[in-house]
Formats: sequence, structure tokens, C-alpha cells
Amino acid sequence: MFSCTRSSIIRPIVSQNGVCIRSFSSSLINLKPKATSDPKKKLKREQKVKALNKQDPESHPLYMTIPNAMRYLRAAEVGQPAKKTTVSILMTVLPDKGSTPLSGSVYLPKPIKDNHVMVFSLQPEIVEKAKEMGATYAGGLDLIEEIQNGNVKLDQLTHAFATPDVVKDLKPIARQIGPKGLMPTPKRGTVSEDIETLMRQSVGALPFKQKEQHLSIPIGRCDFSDEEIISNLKAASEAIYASQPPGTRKPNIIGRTFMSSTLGPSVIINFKS
Amino acid sequence: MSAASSCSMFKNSPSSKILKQIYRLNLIAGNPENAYKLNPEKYSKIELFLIQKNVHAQSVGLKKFWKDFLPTLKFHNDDIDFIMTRIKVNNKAEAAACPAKILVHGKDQKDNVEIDCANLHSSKILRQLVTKTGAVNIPLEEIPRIRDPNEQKPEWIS
Repeated sequence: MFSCTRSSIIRPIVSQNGVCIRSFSSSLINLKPKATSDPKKKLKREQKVKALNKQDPESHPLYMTIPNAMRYLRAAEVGQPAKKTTVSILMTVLPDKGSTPLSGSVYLPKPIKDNHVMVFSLQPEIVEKAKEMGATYAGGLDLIEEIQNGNVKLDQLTHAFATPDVVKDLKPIARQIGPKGLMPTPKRGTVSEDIETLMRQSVGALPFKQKEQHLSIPIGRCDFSDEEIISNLKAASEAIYASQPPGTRKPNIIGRTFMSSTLGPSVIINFKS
Repeated sequence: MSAASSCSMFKNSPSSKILKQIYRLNLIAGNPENAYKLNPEKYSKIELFLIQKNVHAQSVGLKKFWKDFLPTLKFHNDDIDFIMTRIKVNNKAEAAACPAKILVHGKDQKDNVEIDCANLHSSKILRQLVTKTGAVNIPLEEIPRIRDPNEQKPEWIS
């Protein structure tokens, strides 16, 4: 009577005189399926997971359009400082045997963190181009002199680049910019003739990499408008689908995509379009 | 499946992955008891002043109000800004003098509403906010509700 079979886990045992007895092991914990070595069962399980991930996101009970999802997430994050309310997406990626994991970088139209770049160069053309691309400070010897005098606010800067001809002249200000991680050196790859590509590669780029069966990237903040979030999602979607090596026979299956925020609930969105 | 999880941030939430999210989303959407809509033409933003330290007897009610009722208010008043100002204090004397209040900014200066929340229960704070601003209750039919998939029994659950 007290034997613990699978059926007795759910149903309480009623004895003859009507007293309800429950064995100690009658818990309602949802047990994880046991690891099996049977290849047939394994295959069946894998096929089931694949079929679930290939379904339309619209058929899932948690499916929402992006404006509706953002309404819920904004409500969940109410009262939190905007910096702490990162909205991120997580997708299931089912790798085939021998397929290369997805990795690359996304350029979000509206970056999550503000970037402030400083560029040193003796060539006026490069200085002008850097200013055009949105560098906060750009200049040659005159900028170095200003930093020496303490007229430049260094705290908000995130990146610093230089062309090889100006590196020698940076020595006097190395003590000021070095501790802030702004000293350009060839070793770190921040010294180059081609400042344009350097800026494009490191500013606003968001690297992503598949970890086992998941791929997760931040997409915005709760104080962004719906249009900004949608444009960021589109850029991420294009970059992730393009990172599949072209012409492979064994592509990774990109499954369901969840959207969530730091403290908020998680909902399913249509990531493909 | 629907057993309540013991260690959850939200009390009595189910342990199943999907049901837990549905429970959470429906909690945000609220029910007729706590879903109210403010007049967006009259009010522009709501500002809360709360002490930064977590345990402070006077402002516990306001902190609970933030957690229990503010998400639902934000959900139904998407065009009103909600601002939280945490006040930093250095000693006990400052903590005792620290205000716990809600300021509702009207588009006209006349419409400004101030509610002192010191030593008030969170449900009383909501009632005061509703009566002072004249917020409208939202009926059950207009509150979006995500249904339990077990009721519908679609194919994917099998």
C-alpha cells in the first residue's frame, strides 16, 4: 500500500475505512526526464524539440507583438533607473552535427551605451573625417596641449584612437590618459592608418556568440521608443541570419525567440520579420 | 504542473515555465480592484520620493505600493511618466526627516496633487491617489488577459 509507484505520486491512497493516506514521497515536483542511452528514445526526443522550435511563434500562448510586449516590460520596470532596464533577446539555436556555431557582430542603429571617441592625428583630413563620424574630440598637437593643460574632460570618453605618426607625441600625456584606458597602442589595435574602419568596428558594434544551444544579445532599454526597438531588432535579425555560413548543408536551426528585461517577464516575439 | 513554487519573488506563482510567465503578465495587467486610468490631459507625470535604505518603518507602505500597484498603474497609463527619486541619507536624524510622498504633476500648476505616504498601508495609498486625482476604474472586459493554455488544449502541449 505504501509502495511508491508512478501512479501513487499523483493520487492519494484511500484505505478501506475512508481515511486518506499519502505517502511521504507524494510530491508534485515536475521531474526532469531521465537521461537515456537508448538511441531510439534520444532521437525521438530530439525530433520533438526540433518540431517545437520550428513552429510559428504566433501559435505560442506567450506570443506578443513588439509594442504590446514593450508595454508589459515598461510596466514591470517602473521606477527603476533607465540604465538598469536592459531589454534583451534570447533564442534557442539547435545545432546540427558538425555545423559551425553562430557568431559575429551587430551594429545597432540606436546603441545602448553612448560612445565618446577621441582621435589623435597629424593629418587634417583624418581629423575632419573623424569629426564627421561623430568623434567627441579630434585633433593633433593642439588637442594634446589642451589635455596637458587639463581643459578636456576625459571621464566620459570610452575609446581613443591614433595614427602611427602621432604616437611619439602622446608620451607627455600618457600619465593622464593611460589610467583611464585611453592610451592608443599598436598592441591593443587602437593605432592604425585607417581610422575610419577602426571606428566602425569598435564603436557601436556588439559581438555575439552562440553558447551551446542559446544565443542572447541586449537590444535596447525600456526608455527607448517602440520604433527604436523595432529598428534595433531588425538590424540584429539581419546580422544573425546572415552569420549562418553561406551554402552550408548543415545549418543551425534558429528556434523560438524570447524577449525580456532585467526584472520583467519573458514573452515570445516574431524575430524573423 | 500547477503546484506553487516555494521560492519565488511573486507569491503563489505556478512552477511551470509557461504558466509562471502567464501569471506574471496577468499580474501586471491587474484586476478591476487595482486597475485605474488617470486623465492624461490633466496630469503629465507622477513622481515618488522614497528613502534609499531598504528598511525604514515609515516608508514601507510606499515601497510595497511601488512593487504591488505601480506596474499596473504604469500599464494602463502608458503616456504618463513615472519617476522614482531615491533619497540618500547619512544618519538617523536625516532618515527620520526623510519624506515618503507621491507628487502628481498636473499640466496646470493648480492640478498638482501631493500625497503624504508616511505610516500608510499600500492599499490606502492607492485609495488616496484615486480619490485625489479622480482616476477612472477599468472594467474587467477591458483588461487584457492571457489565458491558460491548458484550458484551450492546443496541439503543442500534447
